[in-house]
Amino acid sequence: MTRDTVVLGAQAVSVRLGKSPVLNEVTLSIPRGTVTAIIGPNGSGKSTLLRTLARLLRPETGAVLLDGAAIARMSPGHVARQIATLPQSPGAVPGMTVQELVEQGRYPHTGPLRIRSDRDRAAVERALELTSSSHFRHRLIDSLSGGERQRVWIALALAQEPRILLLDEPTTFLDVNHQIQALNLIQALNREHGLTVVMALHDLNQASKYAERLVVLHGGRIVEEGPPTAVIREDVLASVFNVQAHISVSPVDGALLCYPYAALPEEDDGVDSGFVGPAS
Amino acid sequence: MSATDGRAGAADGRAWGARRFSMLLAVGLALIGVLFVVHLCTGTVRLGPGEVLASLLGRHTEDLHRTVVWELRLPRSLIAIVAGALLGTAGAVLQIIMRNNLAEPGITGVTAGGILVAVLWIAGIGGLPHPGRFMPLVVLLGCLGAGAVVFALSWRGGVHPLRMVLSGVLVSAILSSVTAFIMLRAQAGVGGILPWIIGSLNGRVWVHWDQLWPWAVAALPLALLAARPLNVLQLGDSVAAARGMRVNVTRTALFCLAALLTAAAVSVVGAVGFLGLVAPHIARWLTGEDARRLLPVAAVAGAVLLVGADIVSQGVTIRPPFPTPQHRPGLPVGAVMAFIGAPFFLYILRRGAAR
Repeated sequence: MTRDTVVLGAQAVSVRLGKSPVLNEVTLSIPRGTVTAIIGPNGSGKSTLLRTLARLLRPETGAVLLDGAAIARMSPGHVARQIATLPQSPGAVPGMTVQELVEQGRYPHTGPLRIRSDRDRAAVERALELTSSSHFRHRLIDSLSGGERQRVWIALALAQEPRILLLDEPTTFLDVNHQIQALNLIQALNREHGLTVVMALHDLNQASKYAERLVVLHGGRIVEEGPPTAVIREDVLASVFNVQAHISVSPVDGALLCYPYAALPEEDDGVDSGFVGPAS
Repeated sequence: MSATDGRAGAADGRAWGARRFSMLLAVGLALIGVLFVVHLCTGTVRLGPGEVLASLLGRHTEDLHRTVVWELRLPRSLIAIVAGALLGTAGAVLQIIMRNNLAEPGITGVTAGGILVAVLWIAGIGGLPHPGRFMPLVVLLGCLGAGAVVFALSWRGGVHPLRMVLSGVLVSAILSSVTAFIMLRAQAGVGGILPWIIGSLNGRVWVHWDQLWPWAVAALPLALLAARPLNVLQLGDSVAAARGMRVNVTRTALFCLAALLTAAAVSVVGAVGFLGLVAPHIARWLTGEDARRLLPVAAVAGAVLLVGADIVSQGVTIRPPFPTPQHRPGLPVGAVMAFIGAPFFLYILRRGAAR
């Protein structure tokens, strides 16, 4: 891949949270207009990597590059006009309506004091329409279902008019139907509007269906990187996730299907302890 | 439902929301107007609304009426309105930046600092000359000093809301205990000290108004302008940071703004409790949490509450068992505010718990 197609990158980035190292010399390139999924077990550093890429965490060593320039030297506002980030669970929302919430996405463009312009209004409209949220724009966030709420948070990120979308497990807390809806929306934003998407995902099947590139994090290091067919292998699942899995191809759309059927004994680097033995 | 239906309904909803807010403000301002006139009528010399309006408009009236209205009651009414608005706004700002609906201007430490300074001077500690009419100015300096201490204590590479609350409560407790100690030593001055501690509008005249309004003119518009960052901050620190906000800088600036709003009010009316707690709750109940509407409504609610409470306080006359410097022993407005505010607050708490 040539240099100018890389829109966001990390160069030997190490991050500590408190005293514990979370990311260790991570080097990563995100090509423009692609969907990248970051996968890895709990505590592998997925959220930290996303936050570091968004300039929300300062790496101890190494640098994050946006369009080839060090992100650390850019102002938060400048970065937020290029990159929109959604945390895993954005938390309790005060009594705001959908539209009021989505309008907050304009903050990087308007700043604290400037008056909202027609352009801001148009961006909010577009974000509501892209996420099919226009018809419930005056409802309170509290009254929405989980799926609607996730759409509204994505709308807030879109109102920011970013080129890059960083999403931390956008399907957590959603039922299967809403998971697929949310991922289809993200896919459409990538295909039809050219957004570069990086998202942390738990579900390996969804990761290989929706992302063209997978990044596997394990213990704060990138251990595998590439298209799903190259990354989703039985040996990777065994060494990274500590599971025995059967991998096949979906007869429906040709995506990889990964069926974990047994948990392997934990090694030293295992993070979670869990049930060990065959699942059936 | 077709898309056009949805959009038409949505447009109605927005117009209705905006109309509701304008109506709310209009009703609130009208209420302030009515209470203002009632307030001017209230006092030892009973006047009718007609006499008050005639005096205000400079028509021919008795000189006594004109003096009472212009020299005693008008400044007191104006101070009540503005100080109430300041405290209501300060409470709304603090509740958002502290992420805690029990936050109130008292926890900035500002109130306790101002009161301590007032008490130091009144008790004559350190042989300083009594500042007399300029007392509010001295109190203001105490307020701002204590606010700075609270802020310095809560800074550790950034400001965490909970650390701010704890530092504020702690500093307030320490300063209050020093105040209590001084009061025990200087019982002669208690009559002058108590109105500051409870919060009182008694004897507030033009000189006090002159000290209050410049701060209000500077700080209230700033607070209204802060609505946008406050809204983003309401979504949580991580969401706000991802919108390009410098969260620490913003929270710091807004804390200073709230301290300033509080200091301006406390330096003139003393430590009126509950107002900064209750007014934002009423506003939230009426208009929701969007700070663009919450702040103005909280200001109006604060003004209504303080003027209303002062009308009640003037209807009740008490004769304290110690000499007071006031022209007329009236119940301090802070006591009335606590009497109204505490049960109201309990009600809000129970309503919140029931949800």
